[in-house]
Amino acid sequence: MNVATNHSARRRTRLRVLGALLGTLLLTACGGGATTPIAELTPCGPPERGLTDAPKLPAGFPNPRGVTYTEAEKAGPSDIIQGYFDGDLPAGFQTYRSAFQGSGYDVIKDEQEARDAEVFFAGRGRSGQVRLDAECQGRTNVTITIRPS
Amino acid sequence: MPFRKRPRLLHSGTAAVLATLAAACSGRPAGDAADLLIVVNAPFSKSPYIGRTISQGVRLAVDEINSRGGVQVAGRAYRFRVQMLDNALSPQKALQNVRTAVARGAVAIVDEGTGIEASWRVAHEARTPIGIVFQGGIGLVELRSRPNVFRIAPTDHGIAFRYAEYLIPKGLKVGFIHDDSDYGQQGAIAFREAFGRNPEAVAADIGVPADLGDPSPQVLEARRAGSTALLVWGTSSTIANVLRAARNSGWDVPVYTPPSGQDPLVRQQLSDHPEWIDGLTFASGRMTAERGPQPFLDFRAKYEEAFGVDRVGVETSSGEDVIQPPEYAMYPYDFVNVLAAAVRAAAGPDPVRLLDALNQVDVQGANGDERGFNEKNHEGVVDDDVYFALFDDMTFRPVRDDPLSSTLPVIEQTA
Repeated sequence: MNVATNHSARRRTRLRVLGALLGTLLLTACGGGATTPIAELTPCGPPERGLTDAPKLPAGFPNPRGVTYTEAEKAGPSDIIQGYFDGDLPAGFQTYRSAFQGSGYDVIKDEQEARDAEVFFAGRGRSGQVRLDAECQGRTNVTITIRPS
Repeated sequence: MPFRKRPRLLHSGTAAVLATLAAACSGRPAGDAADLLIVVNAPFSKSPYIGRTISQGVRLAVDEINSRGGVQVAGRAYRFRVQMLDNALSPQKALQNVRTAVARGAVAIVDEGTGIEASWRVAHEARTPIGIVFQGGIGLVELRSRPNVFRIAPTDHGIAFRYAEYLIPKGLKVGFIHDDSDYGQQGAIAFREAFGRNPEAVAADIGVPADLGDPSPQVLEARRAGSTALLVWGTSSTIANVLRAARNSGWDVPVYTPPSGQDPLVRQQLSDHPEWIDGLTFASGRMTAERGPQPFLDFRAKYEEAFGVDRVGVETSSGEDVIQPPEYAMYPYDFVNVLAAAVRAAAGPDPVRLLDALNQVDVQGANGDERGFNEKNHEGVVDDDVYFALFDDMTFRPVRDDPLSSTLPVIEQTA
């Protein structure tokens, strides 16, 4: 390989890197759900510690195995509960969809995309969503919003 | 048992195949064509921006469907035609329009929402579906008692509860001002449900007539009650009048509104004091979906190619013309596409089969989100898709102190 070939190969590499950087910048700038393939998830660090006192969920509300709650707060009339699921996004999505069956809450809509998913529910005088975000390999963040309906 | 996507789609597909077979065996000549009437019942004279937005959303979808040859079912093509009827924000006029639509055999009514309390029944007797695409009133859509009423628009429940979740943790004392339009009264119901559990967050709850020119006494009442924020729920004129009264009196209180706050009329009426618009915050349905802004931008390009840009009639401080993104045109556009999918699934416009099919089909909406209804839900926009946007220099951008809003991109609003 001569110097000219080396030079043009380096230039192509630089262009590719520049292209990738520009692509990443564009995705970041656009925001609002620009997605990253699941394969790009990084390995998980140590998990956050769970709450000492489990949040008080409404009667019958799904409390699936593998979910650890890390934060619970009131936002006006609504409850917002955060935590994580030990498993990937598709597993978390299926877990919650199944857990709502027979719970007294109807799943009124659901959506799963590459990096996030939502299960919208209504029943027992409440409505809201379970939002799932792929955080790292094998762990999925869970945010539950429960409102009076 | 919760609604499950896959069986529903299978059911939908099976129903479509069976219905297609039934139609194919009915002896109708292949290649037959028929027109299906969609009536748009909207306030063209009283709220021209809303009326125009709704009608243009419908027309864009209809033109696209018709240009593809209509809805093809078993060798028969169903094309849509559209008729606009002005409800003038009058429940009586809206009811009369629905009667007219039914008498003319409309396949569906795309409705702004005024007068639904009475008009849904007239449509129901004829099994005519109504798609509400603007008003979000809590009682307007009732799955069991009003099976022919559907909605693709942010609900008042979603807006009021999202505001409660956003404003109460800030420690604000909300002065609530609503007008006596259908829109304002429905908003008052939603506000009281959302804020009723936190009375400490409500300083005042005041009604004003929608045609009141100067609400200064009511604004003063809210101020004297200790309000540290105003939530104004009413027509665009009411919002402009309240904002003018507050700023004229030197009260720099933060002002929040439902989607009507983004109506160009608010900015037009206050164009002599553009600084009064700065900081005005409204709640609405997110324009862009999880997958990013491109589907909405594509829709916007089609809309603006067909109808031109919606000029607000004001300029930024640097002299650029301000234009309005076609947010509320998405909803009628999506409803017509859901309707077309239902006509296909029902193998034609038979009212009973069509109503059933509306509970079965989904389409990809203008912003890339899935739009559709099911046996558990006739709402096309979920509460959690409500976001907040703040005006600055006559254009708006999503707020940064709300988890959902902070993830949303700024949509271009200058020509």
